[in-house]
Amino acid sequence: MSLKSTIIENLDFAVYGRILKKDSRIYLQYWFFYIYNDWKRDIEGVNNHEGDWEMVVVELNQDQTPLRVGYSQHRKIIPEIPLIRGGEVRDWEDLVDSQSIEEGTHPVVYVARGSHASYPESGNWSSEFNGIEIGEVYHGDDLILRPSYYQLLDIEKGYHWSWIREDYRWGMHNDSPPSPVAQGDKWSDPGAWMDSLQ
Amino acid sequence: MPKAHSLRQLSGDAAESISIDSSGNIYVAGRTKSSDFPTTPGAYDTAYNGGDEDAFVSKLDADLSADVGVWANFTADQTEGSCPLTVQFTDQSTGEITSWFWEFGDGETSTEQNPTHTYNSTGYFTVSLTVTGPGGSDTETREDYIHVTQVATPVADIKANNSDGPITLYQNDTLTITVSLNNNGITEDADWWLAADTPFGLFFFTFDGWTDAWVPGYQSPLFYLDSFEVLNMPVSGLPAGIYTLYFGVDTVMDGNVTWDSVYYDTVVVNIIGYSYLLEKYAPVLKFSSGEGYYPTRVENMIDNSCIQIKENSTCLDLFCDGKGTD
Repeated sequence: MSLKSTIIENLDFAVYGRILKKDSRIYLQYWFFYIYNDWKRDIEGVNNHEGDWEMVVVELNQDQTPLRVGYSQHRKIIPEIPLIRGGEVRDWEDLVDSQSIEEGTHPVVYVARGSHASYPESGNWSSEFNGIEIGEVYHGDDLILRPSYYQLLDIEKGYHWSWIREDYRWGMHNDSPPSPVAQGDKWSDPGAWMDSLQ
Repeated sequence: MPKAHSLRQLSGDAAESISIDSSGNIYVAGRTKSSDFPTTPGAYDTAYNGGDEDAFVSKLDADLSADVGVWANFTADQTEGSCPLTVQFTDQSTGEITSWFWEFGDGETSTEQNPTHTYNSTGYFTVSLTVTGPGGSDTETREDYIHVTQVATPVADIKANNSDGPITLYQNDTLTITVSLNNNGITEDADWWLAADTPFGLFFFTFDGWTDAWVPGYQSPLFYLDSFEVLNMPVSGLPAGIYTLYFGVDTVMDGNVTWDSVYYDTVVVNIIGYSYLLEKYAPVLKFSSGEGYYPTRVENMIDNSCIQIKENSTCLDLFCDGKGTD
């Protein structure tokens, strides 16, 4: 039995949620933990590592009207490849217009194969860097996890998830990502993080 | 005939006069064209009835009144009141009466002339009196004559955001608590209580603030209290959970709760934290074909305190001893 099939059979899908009120805004963070980033498995992929934390955040104003959605993409930005970005921010109304909101309130996230970067629309890109062709595919043509298919775990309510709040590195190697709590504005000031991406 | 009075009419059968004699017999004299005017057998000549007008004299015997018999009638000292209601019934019947039979409408009866009856249940009751004498019997029935109401008590009311509840509030909503009291005419001294059973304990309102001590918020004789706003506050500072608010009065004014004399109302408020927003805006994740990993619970990856993430079963000690490594 392959590792993949073992994992899919045994794990229950889960998303870690967190609510943050800051500067008259409400931020709904959705953190995704993947045990492995195997972007390199694609010919164009790079940057394999264990313990992959990704995130999308929904920004609401005080009366709970959605304003923006931020999509985390890559922690390490390579200036020479503009398409490798720290993330992407979209206005809610734009997402509604582009049908990237399901049932009125659920942002659609197209997860890039292997890298697990988050995109608001399906697509792919490729670029050459130091003679290596790299790129991402996020067609969304396979498994779909709607909210009813995964456990939504409130980080603030689960003491046994407290390690999420500790500054660990989630893998053997230095390129493994740090805990969400150690990811700077993405954790502590999502509004500022989104501003930095626009 | 000591006295007569003209009753003359202009046409047809008509009484001409009425008179009474010293024995009280009454005579009516008149004229008729009727062919079948009733006549006393042996009277002057019935063959002359009809045709031209004939005279007649009718006699009303003075002792007719003796055949009227009995007339049932009664009164009650009160016909409406709270339970238990004691009513004094008084016979007002006329005629020669030898027995009385009362039916009070609640299954009880009496043969007394002026009974007292106590109603121990609420509702409308039909009362009847049957009187009997040598001249016969008569029954007087009065539908729904007695109305017995609930015992008069103070009626407290508490509303949350103008609702009797339960209501649901989110943490950006405002909670308004209003209370009112219908004292129903009762003016006893009383303890006035406003309490809140919250996820973090039981608290009692005083005009100096909330306290966890069992103290009434106010002490005074009962009075009619129109809608009074006690509280108006945002709930953003309150933990999520169920809040039950109590408002009432204790007519034993001793600073403590005497449950038998407490009249209160409750309202339930469910304060929901922002966590519902997490579900409301939870994303839809779409993966591409060939994907190997999906978001999962961290603890699902733990096997013998380590994460097994490679097919060769190399143990990456990400969580060995509960700590990650670089």
